[in-house]
Amino acid sequence: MTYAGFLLLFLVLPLIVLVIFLRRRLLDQRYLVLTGMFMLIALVYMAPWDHIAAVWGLWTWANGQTWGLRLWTIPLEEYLFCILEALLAITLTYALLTSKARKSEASTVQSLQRYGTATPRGSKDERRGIPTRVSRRDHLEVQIGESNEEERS
Amino acid sequence: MTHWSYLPFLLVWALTVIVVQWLVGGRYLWRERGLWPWIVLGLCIYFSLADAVAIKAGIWRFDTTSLVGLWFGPVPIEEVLFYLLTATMIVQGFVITWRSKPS
Repeated sequence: MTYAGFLLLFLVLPLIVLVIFLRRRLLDQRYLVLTGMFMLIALVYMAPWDHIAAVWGLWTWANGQTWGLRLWTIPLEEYLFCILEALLAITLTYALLTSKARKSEASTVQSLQRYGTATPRGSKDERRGIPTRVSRRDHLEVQIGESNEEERS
Repeated sequence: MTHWSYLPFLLVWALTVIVVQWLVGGRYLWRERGLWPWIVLGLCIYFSLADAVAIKAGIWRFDTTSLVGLWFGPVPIEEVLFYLLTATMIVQGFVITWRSKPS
């Protein structure tokens, strides 16, 4: 097995599974920005450390199983490993963190509705039978929000 | 310069970041303590198993004189710690920044 084969099997493959599973949830601007940022930080923090270790001979890579492209003493695949590990770890964390958040948000609204302490639909005026432009707009917005939630879950 | 062995070189490099993360975002990490440690543990086990495959395949190898000498099959304990600590740094960093949004 080459280093590239290792990356495909253990990093790219699980990432593809995660992408298929999450699909549109990945189109979240904060997730994308933070992920890019952390991939860069991981790379910058790993490279000098890895380079020094390789110079000291703490570890070595088999020439025949790497592409042969090296920046400092580090094979290109090693940089990819670092980036892909960050991407995999963050995407997995994002998936679990946001699915948990969505569940608890939904249950909070449900329980508040059950006890009559929260009425996401309409305002006080509307409940008294006085329709207002604002309350109608709110009404519509809440409806749209909820239908999106249902669609996504 | 005399070279360090793998374990102290790893610990100094990783624990510095982890300590800073706890100082800066400890309250977010504490609040989410039911979630992220499991992700870190899962990633550590997964990557250690992958590491065993890579070492068996001869993709990388270690200078055995720089290791403490504890092995899980073909995987030195330093590598297990490496995956544990790198996963911790990444996952904690993301949890803190994701949870600390001003809204």
